[in-house]
Amino acid sequence: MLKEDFLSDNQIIELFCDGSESALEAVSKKYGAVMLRLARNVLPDEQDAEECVNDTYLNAWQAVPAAKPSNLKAYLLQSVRNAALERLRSSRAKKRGGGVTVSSFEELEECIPDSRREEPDDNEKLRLQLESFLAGLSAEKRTIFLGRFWFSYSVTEIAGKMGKSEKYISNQLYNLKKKLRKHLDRKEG
Amino acid sequence: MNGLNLSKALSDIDLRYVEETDEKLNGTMSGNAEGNKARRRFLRPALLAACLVVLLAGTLVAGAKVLKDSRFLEMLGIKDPSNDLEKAVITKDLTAKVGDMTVTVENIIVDKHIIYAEISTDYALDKPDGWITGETGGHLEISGEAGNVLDEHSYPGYMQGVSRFCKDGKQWYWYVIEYMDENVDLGHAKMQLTVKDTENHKVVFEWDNNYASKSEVIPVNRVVDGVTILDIRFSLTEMVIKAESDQEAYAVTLDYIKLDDGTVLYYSEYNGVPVHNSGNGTGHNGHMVIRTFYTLLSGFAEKDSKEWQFVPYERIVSVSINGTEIPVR
Repeated sequence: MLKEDFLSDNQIIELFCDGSESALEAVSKKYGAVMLRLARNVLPDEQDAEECVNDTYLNAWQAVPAAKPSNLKAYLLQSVRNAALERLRSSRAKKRGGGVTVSSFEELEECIPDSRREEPDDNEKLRLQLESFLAGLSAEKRTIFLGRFWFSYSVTEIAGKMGKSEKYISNQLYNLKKKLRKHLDRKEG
Repeated sequence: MNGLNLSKALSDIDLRYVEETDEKLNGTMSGNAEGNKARRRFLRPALLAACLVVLLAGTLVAGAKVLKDSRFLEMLGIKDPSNDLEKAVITKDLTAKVGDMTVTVENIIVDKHIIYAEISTDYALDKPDGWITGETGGHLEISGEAGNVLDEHSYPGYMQGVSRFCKDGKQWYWYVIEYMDENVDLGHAKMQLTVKDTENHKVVFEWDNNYASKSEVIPVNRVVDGVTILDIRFSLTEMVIKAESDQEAYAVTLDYIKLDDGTVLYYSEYNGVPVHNSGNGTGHNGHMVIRTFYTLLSGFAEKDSKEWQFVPYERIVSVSINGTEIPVR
């Protein structure tokens, strides 16, 4: 049933490479729902979320033939997340932080040590520090951390998906945030 | 640097971490969740044809009868049902259409603060019988709403979680609903469980519990590893350790329990059976009381064994917490 309904990732990438518009239809059919869900998790406005997914289709149309991603779904989700964050940043700037709920990002902000709050943004350095932090976690803790802060799932959703209690997930997140704060502080020092 | 900068850097991490997380939370990156939708589309016409009336919202009420469903108990790792647990298990046989799916509340286990509900569906799965871990069932969402209904003494239920399993090629759910209020006794409460599908079709199942609940509170008030263990509470299916500490952050770790015949049992949250809480509890902000919950249903096994067993709490003679063995009898 699955094979009849969805093209494989390689087939979709081939369609992108051939410049076939069927590629977009295939991506939308196979990953559209999960992309929209991620965008909704990040963006409070439904229209923003839908536009963000549309932007991602456009980006994919331009970028996939060159990138030929080994995992199309992860590649698309990363693209959605980046587009959603950019919209969120723009939205916050326009509204000066008012009226926008960004709970998982505000939570993540708690992990920034005071010593680094005034530090200029260095995305590459931060990325490497985050990867070394993630590498030191168990798979379960990594799942909880990224479920909350990468996929922006709620604690309730993560608990349901992992078959754990909300209390357990909350406790783990509390410890993980504390650990990341220490990690970022130590790396700086 | 702010939270958005950190989030942006997080966006750009190695995609292997994203794949790993998605696989653990949503099944697989290759599209199994989407595959479920495909199967559902296939099933829908047949189900709709079979169902002349689609029940969008309804309420069903039925009485209870005692269950001797050994197969159900076996799934929980319970080999000998001739104990108190059997009295707490009641068969419901409440069936309704939820959207295009037939849903039946098959069995309920009633405890003082916690209800376990076994729910079947007619959704076909191409899997062997057993617990399904590492993937979600995106086509039916059971809301976990529950309460003591129809009178003014209404308690909100706290949904603990859900596990899925496959039985006879069909998808089943195992729901755990806990009531945090320690004064609640669900033994004879009127209950309701609301089940919704992803398109918000809903049905409310109602029933009356009829179970003489039992429980015991063992005062401890002992400091172990900087943590004051206040008491240990037992009921039919759960053990709860209450603790507090002056430390900014502290942990309550259950090392093992010892039974009256000297058997030492360890707790696992990874046995893939019913929903479990943590084997560890972590508190913060001194003086906050934390409760750590352990299911006695099938959370305990001997060291390195995967034979999880139901533990009658009367048989527990000591509980080791944070490296200190505390006698409870």
